[in-house]
Amino acid sequence: MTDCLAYDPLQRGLVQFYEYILDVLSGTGVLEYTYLFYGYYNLGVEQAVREKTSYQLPLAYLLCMLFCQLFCLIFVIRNSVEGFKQRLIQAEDSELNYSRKAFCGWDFNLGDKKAANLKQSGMYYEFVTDLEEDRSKLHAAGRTTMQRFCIIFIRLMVNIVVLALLSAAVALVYYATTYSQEYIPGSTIFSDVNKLGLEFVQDFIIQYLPSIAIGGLNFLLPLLFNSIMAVEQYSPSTRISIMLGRSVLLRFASLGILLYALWSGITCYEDKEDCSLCGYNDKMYPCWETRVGQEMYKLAVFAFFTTLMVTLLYQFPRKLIVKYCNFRITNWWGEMEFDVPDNVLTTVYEQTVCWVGLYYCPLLPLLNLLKYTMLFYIKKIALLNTCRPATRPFRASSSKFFFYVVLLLGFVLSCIPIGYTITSLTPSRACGPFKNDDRPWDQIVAMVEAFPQWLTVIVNFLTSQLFAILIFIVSCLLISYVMIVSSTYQHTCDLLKEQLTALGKDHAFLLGRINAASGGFTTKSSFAQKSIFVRRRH
Amino acid sequence: RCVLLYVFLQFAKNASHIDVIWCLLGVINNILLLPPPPTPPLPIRNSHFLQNKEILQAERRFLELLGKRVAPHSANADLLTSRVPTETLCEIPELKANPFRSRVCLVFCSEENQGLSFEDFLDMLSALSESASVEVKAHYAFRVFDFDGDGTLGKKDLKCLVNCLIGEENNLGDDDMELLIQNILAESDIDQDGTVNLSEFQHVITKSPDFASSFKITL
Repeated sequence: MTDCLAYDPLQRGLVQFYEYILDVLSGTGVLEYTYLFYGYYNLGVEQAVREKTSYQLPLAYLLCMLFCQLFCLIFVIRNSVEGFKQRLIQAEDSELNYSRKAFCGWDFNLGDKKAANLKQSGMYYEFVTDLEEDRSKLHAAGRTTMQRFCIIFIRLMVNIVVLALLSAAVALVYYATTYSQEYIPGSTIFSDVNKLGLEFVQDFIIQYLPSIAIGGLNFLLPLLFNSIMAVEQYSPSTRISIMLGRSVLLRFASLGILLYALWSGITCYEDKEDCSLCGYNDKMYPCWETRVGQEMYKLAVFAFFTTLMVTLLYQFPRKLIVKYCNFRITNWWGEMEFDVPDNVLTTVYEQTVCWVGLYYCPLLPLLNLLKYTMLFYIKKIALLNTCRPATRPFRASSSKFFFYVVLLLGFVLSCIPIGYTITSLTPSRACGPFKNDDRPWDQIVAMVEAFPQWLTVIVNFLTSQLFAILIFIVSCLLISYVMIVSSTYQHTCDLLKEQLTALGKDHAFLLGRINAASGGFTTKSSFAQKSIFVRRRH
Repeated sequence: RCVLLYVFLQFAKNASHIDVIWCLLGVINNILLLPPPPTPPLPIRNSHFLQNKEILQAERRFLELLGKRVAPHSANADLLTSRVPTETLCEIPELKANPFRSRVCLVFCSEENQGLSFEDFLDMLSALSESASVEVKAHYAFRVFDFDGDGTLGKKDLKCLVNCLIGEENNLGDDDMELLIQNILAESDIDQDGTVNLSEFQHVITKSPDFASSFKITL
């Protein structure tokens, strides 16, 4: 047991100057034994064990994390529900899609000529997209059985190719992570003093290898997916959904495999001998939670720097080139278009990384806050100065619900590693608040056992199987009731619509009879009279 | 003014003589030199959706459009009788970029081909103001979109409407346009007579919550 305590993050020896920069960028060295990471929160733990009345740091740490997650869950669900309601209302009125666009589409507040032109192009593309959508639906409905089999076969092939690409990407990330974990900084081939710069670059690249791999794949693979999508012949809106779905799958898969690679290293998935002493691989990871936290920190920092570099080194020069060089190819290339779905998915992915890293790197949300604030203003300035408006307007309203669902999915996926860590993995013995416990969850168990008798009885009942079954039955009843009520309303709506149609026909019939009876006295004067009435009335 | 007096009395209890005199001077300054609240200069019926402030602003703009100099707080006899030609009105910055500007001016014009009087101008601003009800807006929107003035939106009206919406540079092919108009009629023509009348139009409007905020002009 004493061997598991060998962890000394403060001992550095002779440090090269560039290592400080590397420390800030990857969270090692100077930043490792600070409030930033899990390993620092071991002050007062012994005292808490001895005296039950002192501040119980381990319990506080655990409860803070759990309440943070609960808080985020409540907010995400609340926003998804609002998006869902909007989506339901819109889906109901998709029957009036064209009429609404025609009658309520123009915004009379527009006073600027350029904005008006933009709005007109936007409306044009909306009509074109809608008509295309309808046409492709008609076309799909008109396919013969043979053609249908062909299409299904092609789609199956494309999905297999996509899965193959995803597996290759995932394997790449896995090997990058394991290589980066096993690398020891300083043991490079460039040990000559004159080649310090190269040593720094090599250290930096290998430390950041998982982040670089993930970032590169997130950029390249969606382009590849889009180019194969043309074969599948989906309708435009389905195409966008599937594209976004594949991007989301790629991002979450790469994050998942990074965590899996870390887990297999920590719990010695391959070689059980290293873990027999302490329950985890203490030679490579004397304080493994801090290492995981460092990986999440590196992902966050890398994402920030990539966005910054892309904005500064790609968007602004592109704008300058397009503005000042008047060649045909630059005019065709044009300024950058702001891609809304891509940006939203990146934000959702970074938020998932933040949630996963919350337990291991408690100050990560604060860093993320600063990062998002800076990125917002940088992106806003870049957008207003370097991007041209999208020629195809993005239907933000219809996709709002989709993005909230992806965010909820990210949240659920981030609960898995944290839940697993709290309930099943052995905490590090050398650092952190749980070094004296078998599982962090034991703290909660101890807290519940220390409750007064009546509270313990209630808690035991709430966690028993009987209560779970009761809740399940009650939920099923409620759901079936709500479904019956909603289908009744739908039926009533349909009946009322039919009544409206019948009323309209009656109206037309009666008008015709009146016209015939009064010898064709026109309806136009009655209309004019009605308009004067309205004017005087108000 | 009562508040000022009360404050002054409270202050006077604890202050010295010089402070009291200084305070009195300040109070006199404020009360006597307060400008009178602005009243509308003409006997306009107060049944519009516009506030007094907006009517005054409208008066100022109308006089500018007539080319006269603006004299505040004085009744302008020309206001009731003169008319602004439609072309001048179409050039104001709020309407310049609007493809429906000529239709809007025509709809609110009470006498044909003679331009808009001040009352017509107020009617227009009232119908297009923020506080106008949805029925009024729907009624006037229907008249604006009724290009041939026959009381219903037929195929030709819808075609003009779509062409205004998409602008002159963009051109929907004939097939696309035909398909689009058929779709619009299929959705909104409930009694299936081939045209959209006022009640069918209002039916579509009530299902769009953002109509009220988009059919709005503020000076």
